[in-house]
Amino acid sequence: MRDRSDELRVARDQIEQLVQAIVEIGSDLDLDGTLQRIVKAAMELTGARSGALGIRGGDGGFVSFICAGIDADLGRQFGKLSVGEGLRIDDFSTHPQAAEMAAGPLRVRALLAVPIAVRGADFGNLYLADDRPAYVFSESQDRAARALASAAAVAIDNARLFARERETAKWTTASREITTALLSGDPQTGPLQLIVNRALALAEAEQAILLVPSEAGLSAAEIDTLVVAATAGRYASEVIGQQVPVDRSTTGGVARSGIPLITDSFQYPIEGFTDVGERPAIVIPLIADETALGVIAVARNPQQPPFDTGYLELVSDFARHAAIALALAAGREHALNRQLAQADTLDDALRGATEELRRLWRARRVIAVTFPTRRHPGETTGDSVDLLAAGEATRWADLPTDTRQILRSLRDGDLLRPYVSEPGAAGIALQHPEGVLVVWIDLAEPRAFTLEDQTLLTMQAGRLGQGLHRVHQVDQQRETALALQHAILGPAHLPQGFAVRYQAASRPLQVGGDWYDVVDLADGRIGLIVGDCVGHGLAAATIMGQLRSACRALLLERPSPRIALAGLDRFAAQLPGAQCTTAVCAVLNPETGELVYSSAGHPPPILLHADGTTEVLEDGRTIPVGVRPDRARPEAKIFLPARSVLLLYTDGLIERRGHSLDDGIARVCALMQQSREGDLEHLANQIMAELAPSDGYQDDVALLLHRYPVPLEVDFPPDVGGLAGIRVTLRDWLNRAGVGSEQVHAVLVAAGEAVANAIEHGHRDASSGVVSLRATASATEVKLTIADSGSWKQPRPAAEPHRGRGMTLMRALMQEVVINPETGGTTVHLTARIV
Amino acid sequence: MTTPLTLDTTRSSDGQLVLTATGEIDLSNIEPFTDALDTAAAEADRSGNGTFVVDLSAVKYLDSAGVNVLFPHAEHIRVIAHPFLVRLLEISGFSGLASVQAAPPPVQT
Repeated sequence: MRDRSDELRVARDQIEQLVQAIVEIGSDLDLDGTLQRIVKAAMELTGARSGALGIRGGDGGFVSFICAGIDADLGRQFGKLSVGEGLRIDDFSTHPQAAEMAAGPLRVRALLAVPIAVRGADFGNLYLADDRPAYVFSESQDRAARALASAAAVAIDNARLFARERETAKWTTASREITTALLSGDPQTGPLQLIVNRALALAEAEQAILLVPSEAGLSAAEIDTLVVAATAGRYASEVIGQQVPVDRSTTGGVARSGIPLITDSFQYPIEGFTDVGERPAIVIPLIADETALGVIAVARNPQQPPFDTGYLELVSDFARHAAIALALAAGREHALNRQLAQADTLDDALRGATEELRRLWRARRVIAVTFPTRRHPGETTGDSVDLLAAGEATRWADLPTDTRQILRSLRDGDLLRPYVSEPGAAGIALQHPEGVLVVWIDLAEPRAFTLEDQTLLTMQAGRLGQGLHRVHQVDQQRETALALQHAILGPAHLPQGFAVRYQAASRPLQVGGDWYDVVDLADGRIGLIVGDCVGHGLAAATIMGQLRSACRALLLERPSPRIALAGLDRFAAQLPGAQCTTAVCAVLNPETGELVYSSAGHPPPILLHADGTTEVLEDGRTIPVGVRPDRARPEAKIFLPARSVLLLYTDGLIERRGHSLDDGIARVCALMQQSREGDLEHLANQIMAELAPSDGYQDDVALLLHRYPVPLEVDFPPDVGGLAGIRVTLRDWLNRAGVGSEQVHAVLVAAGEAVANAIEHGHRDASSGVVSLRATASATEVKLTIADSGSWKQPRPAAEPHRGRGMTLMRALMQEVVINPETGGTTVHLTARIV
Repeated sequence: MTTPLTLDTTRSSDGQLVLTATGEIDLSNIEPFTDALDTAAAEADRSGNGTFVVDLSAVKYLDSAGVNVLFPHAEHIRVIAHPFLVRLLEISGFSGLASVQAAPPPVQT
């Protein structure tokens, strides 16, 4: 009875001990720790002096032993025992398998061995041994050990799953890091090096190499040679640059098939890699868009466990992401980048990118929501968001509450981390120059966003963020530069009849040493200056600013180009860096077309006549500014013919390496002849565009165009009493524009009809208002615009025949009559081709 | 202010009633021109065959308002016009109804 109760007590204690042991072995999820705790718990449970846990590898052989109470080398001897369903031996020395074991120092008397199966697979064996003479393992200890083994299997399984999760997370994080690093374009570490470094570290390998096709852009089938482009770990310097034929190599086979593999031998010798001897290795292809970008081979040292098949998947995922990132990083001409590069403003960039994302994802809709930066944490920006949508017109207020909630939470979460909780949709937050941008993509069909998709989205979002930042910077710089340019380069308001262009060689900051200026002088004349300081950029610009102001002041004081340039000579002599500035200075009488000009070593002005002939104004020229301050300066005078165009410019327009200045001037003349039809702005555009070298202007360019006569601009009250005066003004202008007297009369009548209509019909009911008359001349035409602020009564010729007579006259006398009746007033455009 | 226009009705040596206009004719002075035409027409009716001459050879400008007031008298007048005006009267269709004769171009217009 007592024995029985003792036995029961012992059994109960054992169960408690066992439960305790099971609880302990599962106490954390670290696999190594778990295995060690299993051995210890088994020893405690049975009182055995030594224990070991043998772990089998993929091929069934033992790969490692965890030992307690005995030396690891001795423990490994247990691996030779055939355990089967389990062994319990009281005296091992008499056992037939004892011979299998090395006789040596392993002293085993009592032995207990139980197999451990994890998810049906033979994981390994648990061995318990004791060398004390009287020691035997009881049947209950055997059972306890078996119970422990099955509990251990669960703990091992958990620990393994956890290790796998952790491993997966490590590789996924690595993919992200590579994506981010490639985005940042870190010049210190090339993208290939980055990938190989990560692969080495994550696989805990001793060597990793990355091979790429020796020729870029080939399909997997076309590649014939791989070359080691990046290495990490041992023998890095020996192996770099080695060539490997695709046909006869293991790495080549992987590149071609796209299928990763685990191996310990390589077909083709790679010095510094395969000659190290057999060791566990894994070979993974880098494939994006069906193009083989390369192959990664990672090798562990011979003592490390080989790679298992689960690893293959893990590393393949990593390689796939790396390949996508690589392909995207390499694809500088990527459509998204193009969109961003073309945009001038943030809004344009974002609008273009949103459309592009929709196209790339074949999405039903892409929303881009900009949340402005909160100035302090507590501030609620409420719903003050900017929403842009591509695909479907969408307003923030129309979005479902939960969508708005998700978008807000994305704003507050990590940047560049895709959110993919629902199929067919994904969101990501990124830095916007003015806050946080959340991009939301609704796919056309509700498919899942794969890991690959997420990498792609992260990559795109990163690019977008960078692109927006760049656009913002350039935008701000440009604004600053433009303000600066306007402040020091030329007049704030250009009078009618002039066109200017300016392009600095130093981009994007649009300042340089060239300048143009148009100055209204006291007597109604107009000063024109184009100049060119030595040098480029900001240094030249500061000199230029001073010379420009000085020249302006000199002209205002004495409207004589000769005297102004002489004054500039004395000024420049005092200003370091101003010597050798070239300039052409002219004073124009806009009433008569009289042009007095003087040139200080500057390329000659060009005059384009209305008939298309050109004239180079070579007179009135002497040395550049500030060289001989006391020398007298010459002056020349011409009268600008009607509808001629005067061009002042700097040498950047005509200078080309290997060509003379005369060639350049001839090119300008030819182009002006060709482009003489149309207005001044058109001519200016043509000159800048057509004369630009294929790689852009290498020097600053400034140009100033004037067509004589300046356009006529008259505003007058809608009063018939003013008609005669307006005709006088228009007649004078038409005479200046070189229109023959008969045609002057025709234009006067047509314009008179339009003006009379404006007065009679447009302002019949209102005594106030303004009628405006504009007239411009081109080489071959005069164009008039008569605008009123009222609304015409449409004439009905049948009912009131005399009402239609004015219109008939206009149409008969002019080549073109266009009437635009709008609510704010009616505008009549008249065109007469000059005969 | 109205556009300067002088209107003068005389009888030529052959007894023909002549309305001579000098200046420019537009909306601002169309009324005196209309009145002068009407007066001349009445005078012609009363004293002669009902026809009269409108001499516009010193009129440098005439717009559709002027043409409009000539139309009612088309069958009864003979117009002498400055060469510039001849084309205008053609375009407006007035020449089809009335006799229009170009004045010799003046030395200075």
